[in-house]
Amino acid sequence: MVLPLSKDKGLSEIIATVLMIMIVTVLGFSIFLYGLGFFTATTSANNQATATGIQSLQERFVIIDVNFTVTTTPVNNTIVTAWVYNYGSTNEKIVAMYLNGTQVSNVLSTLIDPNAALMVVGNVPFNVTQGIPQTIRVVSSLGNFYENNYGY
Amino acid sequence: MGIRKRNLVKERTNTGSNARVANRRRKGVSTIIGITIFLLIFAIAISYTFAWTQNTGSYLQTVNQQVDLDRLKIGENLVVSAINTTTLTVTNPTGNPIVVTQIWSGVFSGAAYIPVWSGLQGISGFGNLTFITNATNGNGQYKVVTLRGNIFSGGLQSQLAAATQRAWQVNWYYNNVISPPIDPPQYPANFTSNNLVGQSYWYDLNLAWDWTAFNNPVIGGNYNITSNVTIGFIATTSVIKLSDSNSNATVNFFIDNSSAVAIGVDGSVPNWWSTSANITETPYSSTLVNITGVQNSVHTLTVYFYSNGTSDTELKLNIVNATLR
Repeated sequence: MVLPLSKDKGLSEIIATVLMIMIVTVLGFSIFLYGLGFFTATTSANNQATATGIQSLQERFVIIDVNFTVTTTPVNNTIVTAWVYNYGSTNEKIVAMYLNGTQVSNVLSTLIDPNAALMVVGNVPFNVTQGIPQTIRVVSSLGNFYENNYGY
Repeated sequence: MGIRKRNLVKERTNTGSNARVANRRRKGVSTIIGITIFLLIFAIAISYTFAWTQNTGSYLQTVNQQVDLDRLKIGENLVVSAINTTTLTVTNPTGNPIVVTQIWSGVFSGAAYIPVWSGLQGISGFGNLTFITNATNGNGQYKVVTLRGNIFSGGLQSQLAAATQRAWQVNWYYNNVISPPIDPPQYPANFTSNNLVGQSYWYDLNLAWDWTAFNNPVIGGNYNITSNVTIGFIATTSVIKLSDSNSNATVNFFIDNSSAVAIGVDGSVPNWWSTSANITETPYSSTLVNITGVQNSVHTLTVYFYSNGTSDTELKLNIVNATLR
């Protein structure tokens, strides 16, 4: 009378234990896989951010000279030419140029090797005024910029 | 019966004990699995933390390197002296070596505007080096670019400008009219380019000379005084006002009785020492010319002077609350 009851009770305990092991295993591996993915993604982003940050820190450039050419065809147009020198240890890409806060149009992305200078050309739809300092800013692909005033 | 009952109790007791042992074993399995998974996650977190720490370390190391580069960059200084349109001397007044990478010169010529010299050339501390460039359209103005990104400029014109700083530019005139000119000095009838005889740069405008010997040349060449001759100059300089707007800078002067002087400030139209007096009578002193303006304002000072040489000639100028620029 007692023995069969004991057998039934043992069976449910086994089932419960197996279920518990399964739940622990599934939940545990789920957390493990989620954690693995999270850490992998975070570390990858961190690696990329660090590499970009280091590259950004190592990016150094300066404007050597600037020339303004006011054209008559088309009217109210000024060609802006800047010579940019890369004194950093990495290649850099100039992607934009600004004249007194106005973006200079038609600036082609220019890749500059270390210790080399290249010309960056664009144009603005107005004439620059003679005798007034013009603020030129060149911007790199990593967001660094160099700005200075140049005369016309 | 009693024995059976006891055995039953014992069996039951044994069965319960076995079940508890088995339960403990099964409970241990899930705990071990849980602990193992936790340890795995912990190990991954720790290993990735090491990676993050390493990244942060690399970034900080780069920051330190760039700060060092900035420090070295700020310490750079070069003096660029142009010799001609193709040659220049670069002097390093600092104690640290500086590497020159490019030299630019000339005027804008589109894509043809390129460095007239490029390479890697070190200049030792307190040393100098002469560069011979391949400039074909050089204008004597140079930009020297260093490895650390500094740009130093210099040229032929800047050397002249440096030499003439804090000086009076003096244009000398010589004519042979009998009567001394009494017209406003900004239109000196006898001080024209036709009788401009020379140019000087003086650091001081206090002068005196003796006319006793008529044959003594005053300016150079044979520009000596005779009874019908007037010699004079127009001297120009820039001054910086030292006092604030509540206190004027002043110029007072002393001249001999055969000379005349007039002082203009910032292009003003001055009269000879007085509008009504006879300019050839007696020595005049303590005649003040005021320079007004805020502190550190820059003003142009023009001194007109001539002498007809009947006695010793003298000019003393005293500038108060202002200094030559």
